Amino acid sequence: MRSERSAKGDRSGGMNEANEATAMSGMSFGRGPTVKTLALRMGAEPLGAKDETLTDSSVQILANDGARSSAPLVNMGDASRAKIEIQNYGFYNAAVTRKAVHGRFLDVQIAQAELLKGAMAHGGHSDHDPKLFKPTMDDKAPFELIREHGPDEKLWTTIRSGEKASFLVRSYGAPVAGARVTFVSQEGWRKVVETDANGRAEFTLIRDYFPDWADFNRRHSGVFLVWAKKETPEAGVYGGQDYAATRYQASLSGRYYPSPADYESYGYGVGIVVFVTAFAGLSIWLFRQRRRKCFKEIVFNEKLA
Amino acid sequence: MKSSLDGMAPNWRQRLTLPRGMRDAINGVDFNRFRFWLQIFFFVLLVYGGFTGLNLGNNLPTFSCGYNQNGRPGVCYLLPLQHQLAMPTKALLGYASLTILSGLFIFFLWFIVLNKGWCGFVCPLGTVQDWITDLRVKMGARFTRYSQASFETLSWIKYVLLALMIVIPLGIGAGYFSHDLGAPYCMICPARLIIPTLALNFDQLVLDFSSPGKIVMTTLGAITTGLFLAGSFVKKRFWCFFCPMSAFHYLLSKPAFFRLIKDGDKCTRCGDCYTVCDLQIKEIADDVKNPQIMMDDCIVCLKCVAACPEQGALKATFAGRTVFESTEEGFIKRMEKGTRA
Repeated sequence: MRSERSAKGDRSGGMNEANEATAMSGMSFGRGPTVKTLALRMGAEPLGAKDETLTDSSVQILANDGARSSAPLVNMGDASRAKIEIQNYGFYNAAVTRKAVHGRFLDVQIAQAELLKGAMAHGGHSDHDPKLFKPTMDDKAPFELIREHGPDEKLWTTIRSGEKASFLVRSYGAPVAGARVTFVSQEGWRKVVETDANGRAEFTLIRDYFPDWADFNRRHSGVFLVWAKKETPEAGVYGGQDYAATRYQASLSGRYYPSPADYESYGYGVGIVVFVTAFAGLSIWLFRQRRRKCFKEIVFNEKLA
Repeated sequence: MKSSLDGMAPNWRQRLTLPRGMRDAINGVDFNRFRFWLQIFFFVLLVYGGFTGLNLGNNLPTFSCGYNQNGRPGVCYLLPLQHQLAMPTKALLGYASLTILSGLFIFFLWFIVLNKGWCGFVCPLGTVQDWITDLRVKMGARFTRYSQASFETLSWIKYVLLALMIVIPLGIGAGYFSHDLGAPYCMICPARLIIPTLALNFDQLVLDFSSPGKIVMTTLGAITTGLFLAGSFVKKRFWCFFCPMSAFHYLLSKPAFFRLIKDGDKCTRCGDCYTVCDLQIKEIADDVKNPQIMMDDCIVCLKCVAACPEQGALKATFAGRTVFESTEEGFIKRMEKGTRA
């Protein structure tokens, strides 16, 4: 890692995730392992991030059942990639760490990604197991950034603009208060907050997708980038170099989608139902009225008979 | 004189035959009330069962609507089937075909137990239609019947919807149609709007403006729901007549355990069965030759059996064993209590 990056303080490494199609995640028939490819990238904004390489490193993976594994980072040209096979449904944590001493500081950069073997699972078993819906946390990690999951979040839940996203900053399982957490949306909107006593930082995912209606895509996914920083007085020696304090930085990226409020209307939906019900009801009533025949008395003229 | 059967061990059907007193009690039951409570049980199970964590899988042969995300205890098979058929054609011809076949097999295992009794007793959308009928009766409005010519024409619609429900997803997978058409039948099914709403999930009551395909499909869904509400008020089991699940059931119904049987020799063609039939199936009264009287529109609600005054003319059997049959005593008992419309 080049020192100027951490010195600027507004650039962060991150890992972006892509599915490989060995199994169709998001569908109930994806029973085999899912392979995810992680790409290591560096930049201050999601759109401007560039591929990054890291040598002799591996991605540490923590499964939702506590199992740990690792996958090698493979350099392909200017980019480092890792392929990770996930067997079971649920959320997994992946992290790449790099350390370097700069002056009196040990800089510890942790690029994290939350991996999901998801399932639309119409009624499948994974649909009803709350343990699978929780974020995976690492109580042994010196510094980590975790996205909190909503109460209704399951294995196919998507994050949408307009919603609040909250993140936990933790150190060895304990919340870190006062850590600076920066959120950057796909288009570069950014906000910095400090974590509260529970180590929580909350952001509203603002809408930053404004295409013409004809170009609107409800499945458009934007990438957000979040990173947290904390300086601690941990001193020691790393790589033969003394340091007097440690600067931690953990980054996490994620995807978010347009809010349904951008393209759905209850007014029109309910309006059409009510209108059609009323119109059909009125039509049936009028139809019946038309077929109702007035009583006509037939009078026989007996004189003519 | 001794019969040749004397001294022989009774066969399994004879061993399973209920004592006469119990049979009389079942045949004389206040059937409509029994069915009413059974429908309520299944309605609660299929609309709210998911809140208890119940999971019956995703191949149910009834409208346990998949869009009722938290309340459903399982999912109507039509939703995953359409999603699976919409997979890329290459996948569909490969491993995905096993997924479809296994799903169909599980669906079939569920289905053969009750046959189209899934419609008459279990389907929550059918129960909603019966409740709307009850409301109409209480309001004193009269019901509507189709003319026989209209009946015969309209009864093809469910097969057309079934065909479209299969062809459109295949077209999506082959790249001919947009994915915005989604699960096309579900998009126009009134259950998608009504069942989640009854579980206090109002997400489906929207018009989706995100693309032309979504606008068309959600508009059609809102229109069919409006027609469902108005139609069910004047026509008993209005939507069942057009339901592709009903058509699908009928195509698979031959090996089912639960059956409706008619003994034409005992039928006097009084027409009581036709009068009470919600689906207006004329053959139930007219056909005295075919013992397998369950027609494609039939929902096996067994109202015809309950309304029949002839001993054993109509019966419901399970794996060949009679579970409920028409009796004169039962008919008189039910008539004295009055019948629901």
